[in-house]
Amino acid sequence: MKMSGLKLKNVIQRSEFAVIAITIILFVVLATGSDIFFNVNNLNSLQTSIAPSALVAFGMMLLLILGVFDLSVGATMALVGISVSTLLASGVSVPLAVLGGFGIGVLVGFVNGILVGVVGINPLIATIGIKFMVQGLAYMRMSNLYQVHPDFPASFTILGTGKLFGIYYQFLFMIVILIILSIFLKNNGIGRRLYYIGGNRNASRLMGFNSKRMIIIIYIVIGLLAAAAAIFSIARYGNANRYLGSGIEMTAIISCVLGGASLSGGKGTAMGALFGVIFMSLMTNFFNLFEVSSTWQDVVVGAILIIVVAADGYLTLKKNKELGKI
Amino acid sequence: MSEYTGRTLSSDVGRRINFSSYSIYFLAIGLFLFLTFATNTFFSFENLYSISLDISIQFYAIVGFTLLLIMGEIDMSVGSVFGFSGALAGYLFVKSGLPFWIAFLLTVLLCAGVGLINGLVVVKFHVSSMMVTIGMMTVMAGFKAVLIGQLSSRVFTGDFRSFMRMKLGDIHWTIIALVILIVVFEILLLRSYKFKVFYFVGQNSETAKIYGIKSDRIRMMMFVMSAVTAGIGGVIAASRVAHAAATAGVGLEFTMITAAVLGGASLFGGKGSILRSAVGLFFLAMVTNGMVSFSVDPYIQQVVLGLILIIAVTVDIVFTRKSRA
Repeated sequence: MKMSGLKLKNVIQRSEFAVIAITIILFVVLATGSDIFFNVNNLNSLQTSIAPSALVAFGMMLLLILGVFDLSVGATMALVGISVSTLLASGVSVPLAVLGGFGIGVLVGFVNGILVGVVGINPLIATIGIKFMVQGLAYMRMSNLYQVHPDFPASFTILGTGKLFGIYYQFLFMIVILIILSIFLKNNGIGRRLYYIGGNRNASRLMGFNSKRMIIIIYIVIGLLAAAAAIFSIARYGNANRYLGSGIEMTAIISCVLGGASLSGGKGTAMGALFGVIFMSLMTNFFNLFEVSSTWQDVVVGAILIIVVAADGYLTLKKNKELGKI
Repeated sequence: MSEYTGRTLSSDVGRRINFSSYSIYFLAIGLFLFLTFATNTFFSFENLYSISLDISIQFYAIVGFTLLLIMGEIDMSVGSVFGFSGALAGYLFVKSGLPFWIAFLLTVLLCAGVGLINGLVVVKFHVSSMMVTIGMMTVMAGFKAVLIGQLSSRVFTGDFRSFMRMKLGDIHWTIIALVILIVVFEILLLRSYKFKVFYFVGQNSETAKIYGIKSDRIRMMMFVMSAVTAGIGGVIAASRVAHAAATAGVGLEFTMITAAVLGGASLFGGKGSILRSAVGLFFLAMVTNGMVSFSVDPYIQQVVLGLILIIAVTVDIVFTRKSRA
């Protein structure tokens, strides 16, 4: 498991190497090919698109390491965004409204965690069911909300628009979470356990790890991160709508897999998730700046995903053959 | 969990009623009776016919989807392929000026190619079918959007439009084909050795290989089957609305999963039948239909659908565990 120095071979074999390499290539192409890439507006929009997506992707990465995932995360963002703006519109103070948003995130995460961890429902089915329900609730609240289009208090808007030395608070927050998670996953005993549980649930149970509790906790964590992403987004754009977070579950899973995660669990890093997200955001930026019809973007992203998954499978197969496992 | 799924074909079949195999019939009959007595609108020929017509279109996609679930694999690209095939057939018909049947055939062939790619990647590289087909879902959604952009809401006329409207006697052919396909597949899956092996492959494809079953080839064929049936369904759906809709097939994979799981299929493979998946679709259609007649807020309908899915699976798991103890 341990990296023996910084030999080139080791660096290349790290699972997030591929995504970091193609992200850098994409960055260079954008930086040299487009005049407006370094424009302040473009950099601002990149920051505010990367930060919330990365927060969600971090949560998804933790789940994927455990060998599960969450398809309800986009719906959770919509519900949190709409609920927080409803609370603010009805005169609730900013800290309480934000707390309420996090409460919803915790609640959805807890239910997901119970269904997957304790009841034992396949995460695909459980979180799709919850996605339907949360989405339905979000749209119901939305239909109550759309008559009043509230102006958020300035102390709330600052969460989304405030900057320190040209960097958005939300981007800094994302970096802090990245550092915490990286240390947690690499050097913390509990963090290492995620890999053991994801790698082999039965073996880790025999070692006395409580995988049920871990699954519930991590689902709550992704609920919290989704809530944070929703709050930053609505604070930045000044309103909540039902499209908030729509489809983000797929983008997050794709980013994580590009960044070295595997649906079978036991693999992945927070840094990989971040670079997966940066790659996806730069990709959108690429299509915008070079004025390629954005409809082609899905084709390219999907094809890259299939190639990455196939290449990962091929390499694993080759490794197992060398080890004589097959 | 996979140890729970190997029950349907084990020696005690027949001695014990498998809850998950029959629950969908009870649910469907119960809801049918409830709606018949509780509403004035449900039990009329027109209403039941229109429900059947709706199902008969989605049904094509669920044939391949269920067969793939029996293999223990999943095809998340089914919705995108469904939408893509309608748009592609329309493009070939309107823009390339091909006769409808040629456009239809080419579209289905191309969908078969899409399924083959899914199958090859999953089987040859031993990777998760969910991941690969999410990739394919994204790719096909992209192609669909490109084609729809090209078509700029042109209306499909002539053969394309009348394809879905053809009738045998007074009944749309899609409904007749639905009944025939259900009967044929039910007989084949229960009686024919060639089809029974699907369940063995789904329970354990490696063991099946040892017994001389060509697991890999069967699994690959089912990926093709899933894309082909989704493609056929997509063309029929496009023929019905007579244009390429951007919403065609969106979220269809979730309807398929819900219906198939209600019908007793398992994501771990080895379980499921075409008939029960079709009843699952019918059940979902009745739920929507019933809620409309009770004028339930459409958003609560979503909440109810999610709740049904989770309760169905939880009950199934609880019962399976009990029967093991």
